[in-house]
Amino acid sequence: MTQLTVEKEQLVRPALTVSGISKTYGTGAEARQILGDITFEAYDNETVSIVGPSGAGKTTLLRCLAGLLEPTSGTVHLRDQLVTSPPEQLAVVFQDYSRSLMPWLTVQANVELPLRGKAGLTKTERHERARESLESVGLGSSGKLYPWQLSGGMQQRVAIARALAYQPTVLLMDEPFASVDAQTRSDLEDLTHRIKARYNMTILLVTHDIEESVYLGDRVIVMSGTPTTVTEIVPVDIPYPRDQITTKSTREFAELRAHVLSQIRTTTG
Amino acid sequence: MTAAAGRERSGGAARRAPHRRTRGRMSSIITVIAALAAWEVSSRLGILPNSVFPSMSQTATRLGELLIDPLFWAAFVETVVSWIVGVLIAAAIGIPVGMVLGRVAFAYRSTRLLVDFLRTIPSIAVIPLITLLFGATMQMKIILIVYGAVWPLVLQMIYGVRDTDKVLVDTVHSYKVSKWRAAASVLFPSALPYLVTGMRISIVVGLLLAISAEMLGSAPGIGLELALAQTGGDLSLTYAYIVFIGLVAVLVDILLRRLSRVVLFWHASVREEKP
Amino acid sequence: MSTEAIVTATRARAGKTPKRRALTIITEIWLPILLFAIWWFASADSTSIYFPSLQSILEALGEMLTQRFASDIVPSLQNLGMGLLIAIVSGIAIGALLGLSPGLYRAFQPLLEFMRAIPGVALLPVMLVIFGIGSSMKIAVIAFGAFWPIMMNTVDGVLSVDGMTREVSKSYRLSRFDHVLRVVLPAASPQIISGMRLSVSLSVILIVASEYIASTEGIGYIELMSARMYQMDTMWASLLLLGVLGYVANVLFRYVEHVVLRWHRGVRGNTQGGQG
Repeated sequence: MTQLTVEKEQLVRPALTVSGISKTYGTGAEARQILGDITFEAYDNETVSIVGPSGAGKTTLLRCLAGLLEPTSGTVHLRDQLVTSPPEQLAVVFQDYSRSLMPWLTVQANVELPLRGKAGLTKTERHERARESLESVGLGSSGKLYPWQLSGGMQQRVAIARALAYQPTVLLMDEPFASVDAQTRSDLEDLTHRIKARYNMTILLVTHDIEESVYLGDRVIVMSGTPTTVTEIVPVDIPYPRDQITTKSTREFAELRAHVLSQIRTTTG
Repeated sequence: MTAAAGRERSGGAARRAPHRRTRGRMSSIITVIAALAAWEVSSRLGILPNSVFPSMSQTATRLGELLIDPLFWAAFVETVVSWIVGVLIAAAIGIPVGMVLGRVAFAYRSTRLLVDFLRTIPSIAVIPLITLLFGATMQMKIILIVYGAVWPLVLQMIYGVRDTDKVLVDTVHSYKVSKWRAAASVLFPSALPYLVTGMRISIVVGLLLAISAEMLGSAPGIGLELALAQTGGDLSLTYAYIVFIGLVAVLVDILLRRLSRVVLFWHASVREEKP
Repeated sequence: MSTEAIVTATRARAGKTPKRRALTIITEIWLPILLFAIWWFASADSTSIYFPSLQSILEALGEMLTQRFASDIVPSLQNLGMGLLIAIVSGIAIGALLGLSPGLYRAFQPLLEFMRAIPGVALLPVMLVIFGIGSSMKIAVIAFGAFWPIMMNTVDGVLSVDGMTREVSKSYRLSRFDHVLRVVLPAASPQIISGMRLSVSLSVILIVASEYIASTEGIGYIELMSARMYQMDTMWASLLLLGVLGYVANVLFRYVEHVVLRWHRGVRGNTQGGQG
């Protein structure tokens, strides 16, 4: 589904609106601007990849979107609601699964943990929801294990399941597959496709991998170096279902990949 | 400041550290003054019953008197001498024993239960026995301190030697260095952080035991003076002694932290702690 | 490491041959048995007042365990348990509070370091004045002495909780209650437990000390009284009993630690074996 069709159906505000946010650390001579005036939207059921050279303020941007960090200027809206603290309709999958999962909780308990705060959810419902989302990431039988008993890829699946069980309208993923091996990585990329098909969510994926950004995104936002700004927003009109082999071998895919790469090259000089 | 600096490792806090630290120091000075003032005011107002808590000023006056009293210093010397001698003997026994136990697997396994049992006996429980055998003397105190302070050293040396980098040991062996040279050049330095920890524990335990032996076994020293002050019903003097002992303990703690940083300047844990 | 790999690794560790296991046990117990035998035979015909025969010591121990169990051993254990319990609960609660508000902690730090540094034994005279002779005084001494290591370690543990862990908690909007109880305290538990280990040893020392100085009951009281009356077999028996008590407290504690910190060992074992 492309951006245009979404816009036609959806006359209310986009799922996520980022207007002119910037972030500066420190003051006076020590001031360091990380983000400079970033504006974009993400629509319902759309996957937006945010790609840029490493060291760019991608993670800073994501933390601003998640309400974990206050931007120096500009605003972030989730639908109509101004984001000032972590919103309820938003879940984050962090890069470092070994630190983002609680090693003292079982896999099941890890997924259930954020659900404890959700109002009107009974213990059985919580349990059921967690089990369901674990199943949807292919870990239905691992609930009783501890995260450290699983491989890296499986741990990241748990982190994804935790986000899914939270049932957000916007899912932020911060370099989610950067710490796993290549095979696991493509498995997890395809899992992301399946999730997108199954749940109605807007996914924001921060990555430094150009191929991944094109393969997973409906649009790719190319970021520049420091201070980070939006260089270009590239629409990816590759139809679904996408496949690791056939999609990636199309001319379209290759052209988009080359285009994104050239955009990043120009910004880093 | 060592510990506090080491603790401030997380993210954004480090950026503002210098500013925060001065503010932290200011606020802690204010807190100490406020606590002392609260003590004084509440005992004047009778919130703290005078039968149980003397006022801050009374205690401070008695402490001041103590500090110019030669008899007090004589008692303190008694305590310090047994403390130092005890810890030194404990080190002379504990370090080599720990190194051997750490190095020789058979010796370690054979003595494991014994060491475990002996070190968990609450050390002051031997006071009645050694008081009978040696009387209320310096000798008795030293024996108690040696007994209590030797275990941390033995254990830390075992951990330290066992933790020595296997590669390092192999390197030394491949150069056919004699066993003694190997012990001196590799085992000892790499076990040094553990030794420093062991010494720190032993020194703290040593003070506790010196005072315990004096209080409970009536050997001369400030512990005995403290017990006498209480039995004599002189409450402010009792508090003055406790405050003094607390100050000594804090001072020793700060000194030991500083010292261990100097000794272990090359060690990673210390390097990390530097702001 | 995969799940299967871990299972195999555990199996390999546990799967020692019975022969080797027997050998391990023999290496561990030959020396204690030998020393026990030497003590037994060397002291058999002892005429020294200070060193009675091991046989008579063990007889005295048996007598103590049967006749003075309710009157002396139980009170000692009760006071110990009560004091420790107070120290653990208040130490963790106050430690968590201070750890979660670093400004407050920094303000109180010098005061706390001073209080912590006072050897618990030195407070006996004051506690005696405040609480008089009795259980409450002993409990107070133990609670005060055992409080500091737990409290300070809790603060340390809470302050060193990983920033990422905090962010997860924040971004998923955990309630304050869940954040403290299910995230912060478990994350700090390795440090809390090591503080508790120190506190357990300390509290055994403090119960003995308080029973020496002002008491009419307890194992420490029996020991001191029998020493004063030159009933050396009873004195040795109570010394032995205190040793066993200290040892058992330690073993129990190690078991608790083993269970509570299973995840911690799991994580460490995993990172040492390399991630993947």
